[in-house]
Amino acid sequence: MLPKGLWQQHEPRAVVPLFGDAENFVDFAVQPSFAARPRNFIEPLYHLYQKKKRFGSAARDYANLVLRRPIAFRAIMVTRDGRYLAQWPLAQGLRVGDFFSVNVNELMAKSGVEPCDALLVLVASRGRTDLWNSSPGSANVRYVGQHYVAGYRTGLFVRTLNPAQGSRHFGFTGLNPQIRLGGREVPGVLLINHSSDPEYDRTVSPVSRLHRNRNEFLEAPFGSIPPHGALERSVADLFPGAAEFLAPTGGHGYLVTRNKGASLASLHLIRSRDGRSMALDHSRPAHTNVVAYF
Amino acid sequence: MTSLETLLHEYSNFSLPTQLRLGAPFGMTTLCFQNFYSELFPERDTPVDFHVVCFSGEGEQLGGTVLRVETGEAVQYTPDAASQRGTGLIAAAAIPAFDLAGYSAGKLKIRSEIGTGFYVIWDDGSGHLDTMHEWMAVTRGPLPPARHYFVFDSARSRLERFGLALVNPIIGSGCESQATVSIFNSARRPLGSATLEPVSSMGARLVFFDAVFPELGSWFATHGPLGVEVSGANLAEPLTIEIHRSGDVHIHHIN
Repeated sequence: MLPKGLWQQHEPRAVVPLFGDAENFVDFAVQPSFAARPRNFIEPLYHLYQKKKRFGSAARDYANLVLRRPIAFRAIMVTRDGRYLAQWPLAQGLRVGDFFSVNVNELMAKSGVEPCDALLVLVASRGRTDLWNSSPGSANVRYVGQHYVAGYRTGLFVRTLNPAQGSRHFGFTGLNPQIRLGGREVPGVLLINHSSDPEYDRTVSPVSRLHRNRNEFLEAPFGSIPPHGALERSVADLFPGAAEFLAPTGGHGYLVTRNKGASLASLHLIRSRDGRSMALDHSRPAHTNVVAYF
Repeated sequence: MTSLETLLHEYSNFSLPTQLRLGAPFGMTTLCFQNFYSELFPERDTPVDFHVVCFSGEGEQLGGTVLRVETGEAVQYTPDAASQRGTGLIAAAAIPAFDLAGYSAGKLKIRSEIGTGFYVIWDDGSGHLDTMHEWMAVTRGPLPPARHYFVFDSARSRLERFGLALVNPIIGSGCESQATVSIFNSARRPLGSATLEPVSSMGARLVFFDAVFPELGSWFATHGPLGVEVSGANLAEPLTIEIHRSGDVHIHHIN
């Protein structure tokens, strides 16, 4: 559980991992979609009418539009077991085309925090006027090690995820078809037990299956992930016999990870055995390609 | 070989997402796909035909294949040498080989344009990898002018090269894309601008900024992180490229 009021519900957020063996950089450039267009003045009212947005949220959207409020960012550092460590302002007064880039390791050093595997909750002061007040662009996280560069970009949103009170999320299924063993690659998964509510307090225990085909698989507990925490597991670590199991398929397989009762954020990682390369990206929900939810 | 036009015509309610295809001599690309329909209809048989088409940097179709992916199964597909020639685009769509409308009737509302999620692994052949999910779908153009902003940070000079993968999954006459790149510092002071060579429809090209802006290194030294604006007509959002001084590569979308 994180301190109450660490962020406000109307502030768009994203959570990204930090890696102790890398310098961790975060940047953001404000995209043209931040500039108010006529439709932006209709959207909050429409979502209010549809009962998808509360009055306070719609009123805040109109205040942002009328006052042409710029956007500011701050960051909250959380341990991989979900404990608050530090927070820093990152930038303020940003408008279309403005940007910032910060070296999180330098912020950590100033606060006396040793480099470690951790998480960073990025918080924006406002978003656009869409349903989830999405950020005008994506935050970019860049991990720069002695020998590698990796990273990904992700948006910030105001969206209810794993609320502390009320009904639970139905669950999470992560599909990772990128498993290749036997060569120089070490594939893995990093799961984040995120929440829109700092007071969220549920530990999750996902289960992973390593498949070589639909009917033949190994199963293992992924491990416990505390609230607001994260856990990275390599396939070889999860399944000590994975290389032998996947030998008939040339080392190729796929991983299916399931968790009931909570939504998780998921990253696919591919590290090289010799530490000369790292690659990662967030996974994407597959069903939204097919099902029209909105 | 299924042609792009045939795919778009025969499966008009399916989008055709693309991704950068790094090819020889720069590297190779593997496409990873899991037949996710079994998650929607867990009690049913849901095989799909996974159509993959590859294009040259100039937008010429190099090859294509169809892979049957059985219920709940996955495939990792690396195009053959002929289809990996040079760097270009790769596009893929999973077309259900079952009655999607019948399975979903009364249960799920199906999108008017059905997408396909997949991942790519880029491998430069020297042990440097990167990965990303699928990206821009093939779109009929022309498209109005667009602008995108992003940031390059040299990470205290650990990153050596910076650039863009210009992609143009926009089809139709007059759909050549031409991008203008402008670089500025955090105070919005302009440092340089250049119009890049056009990219033909269904084409792609890597552009490294040190070749376009010889002063790039000194700009990083003087100004720190740099902002970049890329703009133009028929401009599909490009991917950024960063190369570590070790040679490790990182490619990603902007938004």
